[in-house]
Amino acid sequence: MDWAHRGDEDLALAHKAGDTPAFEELVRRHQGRVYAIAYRITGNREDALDVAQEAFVKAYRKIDAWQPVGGFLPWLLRLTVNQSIDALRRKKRRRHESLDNVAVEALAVAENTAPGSDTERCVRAGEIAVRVQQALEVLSPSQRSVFVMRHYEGLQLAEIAAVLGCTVGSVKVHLFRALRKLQTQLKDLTDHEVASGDR
Amino acid sequence: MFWFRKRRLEAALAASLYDDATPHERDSLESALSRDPVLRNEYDSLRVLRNSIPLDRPELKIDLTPLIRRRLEEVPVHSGGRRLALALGTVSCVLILAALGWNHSGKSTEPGIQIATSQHTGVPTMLGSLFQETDALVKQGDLATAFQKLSDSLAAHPDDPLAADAQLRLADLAFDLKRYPEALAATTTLMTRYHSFVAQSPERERHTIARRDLLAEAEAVQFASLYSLDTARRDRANPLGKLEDVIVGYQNSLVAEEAALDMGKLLLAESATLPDTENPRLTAMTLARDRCSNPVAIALLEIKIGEIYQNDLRDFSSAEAHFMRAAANPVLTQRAKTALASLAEAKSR
Repeated sequence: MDWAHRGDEDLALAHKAGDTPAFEELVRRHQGRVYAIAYRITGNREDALDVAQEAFVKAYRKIDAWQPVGGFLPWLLRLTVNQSIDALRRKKRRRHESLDNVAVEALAVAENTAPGSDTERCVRAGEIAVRVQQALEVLSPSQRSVFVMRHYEGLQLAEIAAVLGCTVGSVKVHLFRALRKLQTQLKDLTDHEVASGDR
Repeated sequence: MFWFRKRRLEAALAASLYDDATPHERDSLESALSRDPVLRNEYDSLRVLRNSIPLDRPELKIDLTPLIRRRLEEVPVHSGGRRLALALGTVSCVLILAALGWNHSGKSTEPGIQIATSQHTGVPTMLGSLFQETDALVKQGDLATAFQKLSDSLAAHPDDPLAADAQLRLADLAFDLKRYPEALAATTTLMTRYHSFVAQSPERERHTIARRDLLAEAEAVQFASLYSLDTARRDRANPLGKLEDVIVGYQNSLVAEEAALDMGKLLLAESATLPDTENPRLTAMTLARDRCSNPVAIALLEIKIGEIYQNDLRDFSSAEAHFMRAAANPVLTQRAKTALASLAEAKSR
């Protein structure tokens, strides 16, 4: 069976009927996005890898609870966000995360995303990535989830509401408060951008 | 009332920043912005903020499929079917290795029970008598029970004269069971707590260090590389293709070398080629290279073959020829240059 050209819902229905290769195609298709969301919410690679795997394991085991009417991806992202928030809570209890770790990972992200750029730009991109990732940690889990899904993943606000199981109005308020907090955290960064724009 | 209006305005502002406001929200926001310079200022600065935060996505460098498959398999299942499968898998691996008749420098990720032979002292000890029982369990394919018994007994008798031997067996069993995190912990304990026992035999030392290196390297990717190798080995439709994928996917790793050796073993089994008794690794690597179709995999194996010529056979001109062939591949040019530099150093010694 050529699963690569089938829609998510077809694959999920096939998996529901017991077809494991269909599920593996869903993993291959969405693992990058699931990992990216988990990384932005949890703030580190190790937890993100763990969360991403756990989200797919949950999707595999709870496929009977999935209803085609809502689409597969929102359901999968909901599992991812819930797992990420759980991981955040656990981490809060452990409190062992070091900023150095965040810095190294954020720099790695910057390096990956700015291939061929000059050193100064790469260092600057790395600094921004570190600052943003640290600033995200100030947000509440809900604010962080909404911001990550809208800003980085480009989901529509109504889609986010469907993922989180809340109203669009609540999503907008979470987004506004997230932006407000980030503004405080990243004030010097935006000032720099404004100054650069003035020059 | 004021609170409600403020909240609605904030919602409209956030939605508008991300071009997701309703027409009604847009109208009311425009009207408010034209009246209120403070709000306008905030709106503008939030827009600058939004534009300042890069949209880059953290890159997932590994395929999660084998890891997820592994997690799904980890559900405690005590069915006879799974145990039977495990037993059959273990026995078939041992038979294949025995049929091929060679042991490639103790680096195998296949069952290590042959290497983990104990040196019984003849003195009856708690662990000594347990070894017979666990050996029988291993022969039956019940590695999990053997592992548990050894683990429990070792914890109860840490000062037993055969504790080091038991630790070695424990590490190998964990590895054979694909319980890689436990295998790494057990191997590390073996190397630290029982260092003199490991150093007693050069073969044991080589095996333990190679195993520890392999596991430590795989730990950085949550053992995904080893799980991928396991999956490739289990693939019935196209094991050679899957092994080649592992070589390319984990090209700078020990797992890639294991995959190449496995390819060589499979090819050896299906061809009339006789292994080079002096250096079976060379035969395996050469067969694997000839079978690979991915240029990166081929170049990588050229480097591996060159290293065998350089380090094992001291044939420097053959080594150089292989490194030069690898250098022609742009992905591995730097690595080939490093190999050539190392070769030049070896020549000068």
